[in-house]
Amino acid sequence: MNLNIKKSNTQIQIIFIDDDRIDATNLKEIQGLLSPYVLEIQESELEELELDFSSINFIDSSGLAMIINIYKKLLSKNQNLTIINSSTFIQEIFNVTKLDTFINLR
Amino acid sequence: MKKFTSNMTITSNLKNIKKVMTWIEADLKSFFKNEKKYQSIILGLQEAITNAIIHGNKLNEKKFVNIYYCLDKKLKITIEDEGKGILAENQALDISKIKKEDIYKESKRGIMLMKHFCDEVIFNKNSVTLVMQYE
Repeated sequence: MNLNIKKSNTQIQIIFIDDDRIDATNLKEIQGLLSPYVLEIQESELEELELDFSSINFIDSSGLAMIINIYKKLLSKNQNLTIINSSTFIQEIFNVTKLDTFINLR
Repeated sequence: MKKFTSNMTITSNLKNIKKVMTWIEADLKSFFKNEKKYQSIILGLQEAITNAIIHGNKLNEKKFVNIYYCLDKKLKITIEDEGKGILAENQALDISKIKKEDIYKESKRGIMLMKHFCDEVIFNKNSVTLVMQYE
């Protein structure tokens, strides 16, 4: 997995590239890649972390746990987590697990 | 139609899940007429193998996970580990009955996803069988 990072005065956008899965097989790698940016957001006045799922075709329960963990970290500073460009199947996973009740999906 | 069976045994390392998925995709993906059905069984399989490696075999690489499939009128995939089996209370987890206070918890979603996305999930002593209609 690699990340493409875009920063504005309100958000950090992270685009996942070169891998289409967020699951138990690559979770530690992805957590390691994401953590500096989660920390950067937490230490800033930025409003939002946006994760672009254009290339992601699969997420499992460990990936969902990572998303919830990031959400909780941002919530402590009233910052938002948004996921964009997720596939229909991933949207259904967020729907049935009710993660879509507190994480913005666009 | 012919009946196909095959099996693969892996050591309890999460990296080995990719080998299983490559094998399953090569053998079975073409039989699925419905992409969502295929994605659903793959999600169930991912959760079952992760559960077997982490909770069944406690990530002990000297222990094995055996994955066996039978493709007949339905696809049945059995995932067997060397653990003590899934607790009855966890087998009973139901995603449609998830409580509001549990939505933010980071664990226990695996079995719920398995049960939601597969047509049937059968728990045995130290194995789980996923059943899916594929046509």
